[in-house]
Amino acid sequence: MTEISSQSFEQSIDQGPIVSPPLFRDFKIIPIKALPLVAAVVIGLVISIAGNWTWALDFYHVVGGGFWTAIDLFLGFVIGPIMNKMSIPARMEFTSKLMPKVVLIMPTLVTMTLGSGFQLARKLNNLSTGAPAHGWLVLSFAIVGVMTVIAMGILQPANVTVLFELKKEHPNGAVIAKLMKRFIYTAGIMGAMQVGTLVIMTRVASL
Amino acid sequence: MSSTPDKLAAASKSGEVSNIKHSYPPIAEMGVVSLALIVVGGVYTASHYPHSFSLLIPTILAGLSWAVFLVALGLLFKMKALAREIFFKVGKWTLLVYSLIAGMLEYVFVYDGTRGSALIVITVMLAMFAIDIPMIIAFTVDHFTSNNN
Repeated sequence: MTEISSQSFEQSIDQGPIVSPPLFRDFKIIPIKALPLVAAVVIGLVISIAGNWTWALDFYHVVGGGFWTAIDLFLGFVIGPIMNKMSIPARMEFTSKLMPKVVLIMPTLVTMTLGSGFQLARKLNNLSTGAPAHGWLVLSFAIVGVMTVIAMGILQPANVTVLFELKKEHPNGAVIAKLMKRFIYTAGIMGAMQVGTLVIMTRVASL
Repeated sequence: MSSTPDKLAAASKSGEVSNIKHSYPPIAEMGVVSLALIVVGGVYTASHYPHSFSLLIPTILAGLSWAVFLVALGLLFKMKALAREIFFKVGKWTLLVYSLIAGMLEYVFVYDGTRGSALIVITVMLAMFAIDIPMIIAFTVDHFTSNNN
């Protein structure tokens, strides 16, 4: 299987697109089975905000932010370098299994973290311009703003495009490699910016 | 003998991928600029919220954002190379998702008692957020996938 795939990739570079093995194309762009779980998380978030419960808001903010940071750092600094050393067919297979999950997990974590974080800041009166933590929070808003532009404007479009390319009978290996490189680099940049957010948040918590 | 990744890098540098990019107007880039303007407006608003503050800066930023977006949209629909089927297929689902997210954010602001002009400006910014990102995603998918068929 690997030999056939490797040979196919050589053809794709030298002679144009090739027929992708059905194994790579046999996936759903959105894993439907996971949608109820995402819906449960989002409904829980709405209830937490509506109830204004400190514990629930803290839980959503800390758990969401922790996973968001860890996954970004893991993708950027562990998975990225590993993928760069893999053969293209192996990368395509790995990508076809990783990316549908990322499409659901990351927006859910971001919504959890930011939704609960803003409500928590309001509840704790940290949004008030006179609050000691206000300056730190504005700095974190700015960092999150930059991350939003990177995530929504660069990372997410690359992610979805890779999935559509992999679904094709003749996927273009060069397009996938280019977009995956973009995805992994931006995930790494965001992970590094998340470390900045962690510094700010721990500072706010200790004021 | 060059390795497979080297060949890929060479193909990527001099081959069809970079050529495709230059044949399209900078619609995704304009979408990102539009998004950045909205995000700056959002950060400014959030940094003053919930107290009353001048809406001049967020209004200007929202206006600029919409202007850039509408120019990008005009360029998009002028394009003959646009594969409308795939663009709308991706666009409608992402529009649904981001409308839900924007709706949730709107709910938070209304729930927290935001009213009047501030609510209008926030709604205009959230509407931009909900429309702009689907356009960027749909265009990027269309850009890369339709040219490799």
